[in-house]
Amino acid sequence: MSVSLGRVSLRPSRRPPLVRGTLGGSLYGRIVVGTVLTAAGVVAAVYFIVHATLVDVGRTWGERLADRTRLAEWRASCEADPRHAAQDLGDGLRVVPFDVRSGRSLAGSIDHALATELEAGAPSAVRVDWLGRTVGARLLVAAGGEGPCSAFQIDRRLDHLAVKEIRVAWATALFVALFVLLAGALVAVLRPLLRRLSILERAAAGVGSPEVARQVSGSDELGTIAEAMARAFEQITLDRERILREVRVRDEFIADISHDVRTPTTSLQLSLEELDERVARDAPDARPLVRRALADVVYIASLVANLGMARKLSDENGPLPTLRPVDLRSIAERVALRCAIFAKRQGIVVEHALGEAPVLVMTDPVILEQMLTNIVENAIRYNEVGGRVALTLDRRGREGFVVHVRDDGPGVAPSELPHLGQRTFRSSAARERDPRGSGLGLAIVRAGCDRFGWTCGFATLEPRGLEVALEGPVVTETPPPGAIIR
Amino acid sequence: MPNPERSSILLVEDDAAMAATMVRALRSSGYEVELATDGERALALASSRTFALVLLDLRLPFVDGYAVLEKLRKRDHVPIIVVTAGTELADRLKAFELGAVDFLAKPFWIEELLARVQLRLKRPKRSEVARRVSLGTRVIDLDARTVTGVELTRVEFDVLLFLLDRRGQALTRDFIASGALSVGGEVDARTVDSHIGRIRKKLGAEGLFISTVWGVGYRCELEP
Ligand SMILES: Nc1ncnc2c1ncn2[C@@H]1O[C@H](COP(=O)(O)OP(=O)(O)OP(=O)(O)O)[C@@H](O)[C@H]1O
Ligand SMILES: [Mg+2]
Repeated sequence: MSVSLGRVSLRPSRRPPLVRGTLGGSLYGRIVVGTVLTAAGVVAAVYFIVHATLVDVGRTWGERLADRTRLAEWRASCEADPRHAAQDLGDGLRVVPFDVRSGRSLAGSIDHALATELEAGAPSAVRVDWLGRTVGARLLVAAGGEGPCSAFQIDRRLDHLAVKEIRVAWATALFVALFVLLAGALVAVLRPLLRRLSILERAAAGVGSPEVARQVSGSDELGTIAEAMARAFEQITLDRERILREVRVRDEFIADISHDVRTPTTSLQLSLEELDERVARDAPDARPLVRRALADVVYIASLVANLGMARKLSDENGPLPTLRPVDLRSIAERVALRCAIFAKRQGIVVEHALGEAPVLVMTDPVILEQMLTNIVENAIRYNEVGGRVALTLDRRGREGFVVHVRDDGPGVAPSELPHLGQRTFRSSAARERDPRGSGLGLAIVRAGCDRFGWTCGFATLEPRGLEVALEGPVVTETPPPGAIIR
Repeated sequence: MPNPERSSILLVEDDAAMAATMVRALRSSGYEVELATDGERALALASSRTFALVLLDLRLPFVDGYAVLEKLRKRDHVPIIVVTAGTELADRLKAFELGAVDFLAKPFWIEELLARVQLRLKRPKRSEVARRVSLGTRVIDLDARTVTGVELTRVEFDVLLFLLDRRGQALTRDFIASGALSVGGEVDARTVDSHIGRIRKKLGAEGLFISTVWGVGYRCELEP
């Protein structure tokens, strides 16, 4: 999962800072604190367990060693010569007598901390030293009575091997503690982390839903990312709305223009038509001029119509055209009549044969009319004086229809056939002949066919010319009479 | 003096230049035309006399063209053709709903206007179906199924009759095949070519009446 916020501009002035740096607050800080605390806890626990065990062991050992008879023995020899009464008993054992009242010894140094315990009346005090350089146990026992031989300090140093064993045990314990600690930290930290990451992932997948991103609340980095995402989403939503609004305004603008242009175009077209009549009568040599002007007017009109239609057809968010039963025959007839008038003035004949019965198809009549107009106008526009255009409508079996528009103009090179209908495609020949043309016409035909579930095919004719075929299903059951559009 | 035989048309159009062209064209085609340049005048004129047809531009100053359409329509049942620049299907549907019989989309041609008007004003002439048709010097008897001077097979006669019935119209091979040839089941459109070829040959000079229409099929011409 990757969250890219690179292209979203967050205006910082209106927003609180995104990063909160406190140790407890950030995810990193939490992990550190959690780890340290758990580690310390485990180490302390291990320490106390080991220590308590060793102290216990040390005490029982010391007490067994310093039984009454031994104490009496040591005391006797001490009283004989208190100054030299410290004795090494071998096996790392050393006994030093001292005065239980003062904690002083005439024969060596005494552990004051332990001695004060005896002074306070305890029968014995023990210390186990297992972390320092000298590993061993020390036991202080009161032997009864007073004087320099009234208590003994017994030290026992452990040999090298034992020390090693203890250290290994200690290290193992530490490692285990560390492992436990890590595992615990992972579970404790990762579980909620993963949960929130998955929410974040969902939020990222659903751009435009700030609420989901906000579910990942929190003051750590994840929370910060989520918050940033939520803000970005809000911004995106705002931008989207703004863009949609702008697009809508632009669309309405195009629609308005395309509507408003129609009235002046009509009067221009009517004037030119009248002019053509007169020129044909009085000044035939000027006819090509009028012809060009007429072609231009028709081009402007269809360009404007196509712009509006392309906008409608390419708007994926816009409403799909509601398809209704339409009499294809009467629409084709309307197109044929209209185009024939224009064609005649261009010196081209348009023939049509559409049968006699209505052919009902599910379609949008306005789009359909534009599609047919585009095909027939191409057939006229790319043709030459004396050219022929044919528009036919036939049934394909019981369930289908086929519309053919043929012309005997220059056609297109076979290699260019597959490109027909691609938006803004114009054949090189067409571009040479006539720089006008937006390449929208057939793109609308294609898009319309897609919407209606029809097919649209192009073929070259022999010896020259282009054939466009539209095929689709007809409505087989009879709709109520009012529902049909003619 | 208004000629009662001539169809009178009420044209409602505010654009003076366009109105002038339209009036000129309609008059020269033999219609009597009254022009109203706004909705008020249109309604006043419509209530003062009856028209055979109203041509109503939906884009009018000051008033909503649809409102005028509705009022005109309520007054009497005069057929109304609306002239509209609307490209939305909703515009068309609304016009039809309010009672328009046809529409003319801008930009239109004068010829187109005349064709639409003619379509509405043409009186249905249900003349007696002629039982004998002449084609050049030959006479075709529909009852006896004979053509003077020529022997046609049953199928050839059917094809010729089919074309004669639709004289002046271009017909596709498919249409001829399904209308004149199919005795149940599909007929190859190419067999139409061979039938026509034989009919033409047998008719001799009158064969020229049947012309090949490029890209379409055949047509029985009104004149050779
Ligand atoms: N009947 C035809 N004969 C020859 N070339 C054609 C024909 N129909 C289309 N073309 C080629 O296909 C190209 C695309 O046609 P299309 O109608 O999509 O765009 P256009 O005619 O260039 O522009 P416009 O949007 O004004 O219709 C044309 O430029 C032309 O090269
Ligand atoms: Mg085109």
